[in-house]
Amino acid sequence: MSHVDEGRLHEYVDRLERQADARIGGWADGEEIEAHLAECAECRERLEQVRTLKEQAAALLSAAAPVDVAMPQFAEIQARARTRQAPRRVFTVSRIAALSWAATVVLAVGVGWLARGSLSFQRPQVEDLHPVIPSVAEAPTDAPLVDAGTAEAASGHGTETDAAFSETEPRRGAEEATAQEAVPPVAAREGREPAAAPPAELQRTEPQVPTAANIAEREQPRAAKAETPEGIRARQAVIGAVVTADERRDVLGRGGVLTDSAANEMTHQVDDALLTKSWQAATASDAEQHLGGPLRTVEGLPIESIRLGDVGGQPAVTVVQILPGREQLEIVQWPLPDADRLGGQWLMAQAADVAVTRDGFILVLRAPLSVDSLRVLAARVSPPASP
Amino acid sequence: MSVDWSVVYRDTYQDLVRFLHRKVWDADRAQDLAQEAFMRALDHDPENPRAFLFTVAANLARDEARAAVRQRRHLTLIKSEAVARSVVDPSEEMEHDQRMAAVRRALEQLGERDREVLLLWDAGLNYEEIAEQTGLAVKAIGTTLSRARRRLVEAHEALEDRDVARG
Repeated sequence: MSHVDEGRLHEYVDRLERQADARIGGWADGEEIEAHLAECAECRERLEQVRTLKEQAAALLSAAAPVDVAMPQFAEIQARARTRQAPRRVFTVSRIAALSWAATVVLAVGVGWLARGSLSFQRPQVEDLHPVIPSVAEAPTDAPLVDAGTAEAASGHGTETDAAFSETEPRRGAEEATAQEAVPPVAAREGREPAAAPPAELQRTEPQVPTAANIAEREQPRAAKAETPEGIRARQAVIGAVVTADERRDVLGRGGVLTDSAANEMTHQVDDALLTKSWQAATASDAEQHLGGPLRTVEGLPIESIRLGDVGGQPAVTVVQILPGREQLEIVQWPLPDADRLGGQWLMAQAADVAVTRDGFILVLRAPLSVDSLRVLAARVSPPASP
Repeated sequence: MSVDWSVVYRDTYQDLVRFLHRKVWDADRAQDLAQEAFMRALDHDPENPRAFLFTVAANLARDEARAAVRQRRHLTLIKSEAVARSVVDPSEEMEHDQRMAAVRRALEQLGERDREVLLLWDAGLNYEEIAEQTGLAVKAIGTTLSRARRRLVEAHEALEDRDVARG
């Protein structure tokens, strides 16, 4: 038998240490290693080195253990868990009646929504009167992945957020009214009686090219609501539930080849890098030197901070910019040699993250905005990809 | 399958807190999250309680840390009346904090996967459980632990040397 490699020596020592532990099952390699150790002085010496290293590492980790961990009574945990479960299990007649009403309202809203969708085929009659305006669709994405607001409404989880959304409607209505005044309706120009005003959604046109500023402004009420961790978590849960695996694959397929697990891995890499490592404040020129390429930001937004660090061993920079609603947009960027090989700009879009590639760099954008808005912001990152 | 949760709790709580502490570096938050993990486990009643608890704990630590970046918050900690906290000498506490900070910096030098495997082992999981948790092959755990331990010790020594050089 050749010498035992270091990994197997660690496994041997580790398994010996916990042999008495009922959770450790039998290990077939043990006897083979022991037979080799009996004959090989070199491996016995290495085994001692492994033991020393293991003890040193364990001592360091012990030094970082919390002191005085108070262990509450298990009964307290059980009681708290029961309290949390209880409301879900109690279904009284009045509760069922209330749910029936809620279901009716949801159904009515749903039917209205669908009807609006079918009527929207008439939109060209309205739009013909307006100049062709570039819109969000001009961003490198073909279609929105999911609208967080819609997702929340559909799921019934977004009561607070829905209320926040409704605050945006009067403003939108005012813009639409102005647009209608500026351009006479088709019926009026053709001498016909004007038809009843179409629903607000049919009249809606984008008044201008969406900018980082107006996107963020539009998101303000939602962002304010989403500030709490519970809100963010609920929104992520809803989005996660609504975006099916097929839809996500579709998005991934449009731009790249990352699988869901690879995308998650990258997100976690960024999380860990941001949360566990020390990032040094720096200037823009330091950042460009650190990255070995241009520092990318969203034009027109003030820069709060630039910090240097690394993600997965690659030199990385994180830039925090302030959106008009005072929310923070964080752009984490680092070079990835294979980024261009991934074949496109969009790698993934999920919950509060959007990742894009730019000339060999990966950019992950994070902000408490919808995925659609993040994607539009990502399209406005400067400098853009070279042709 | 019926799980004796009081036994799981007794055997796992401290390990879970230790594991979480190396993720969030705050003893109270680590306990909050450990308690939350147990409450979720009681709700779901999983077949493999330990694996479930560590998976939930890792996710909670990640979510919590991300949320904490945006907004600091504190959960309501269940106070244990049974275990009173001992009074810690301020100088000892400072020394402990310094040691902890040094280990934290050394751990930061490790790759994400190496660090995860090392912390899971230190929290009491065996090779098979770590493999299940991380998606690595069981045979790769020894090699990963070997690398993680070596890097941790070397990084700690290097940081100590640097601190000594700075005086």
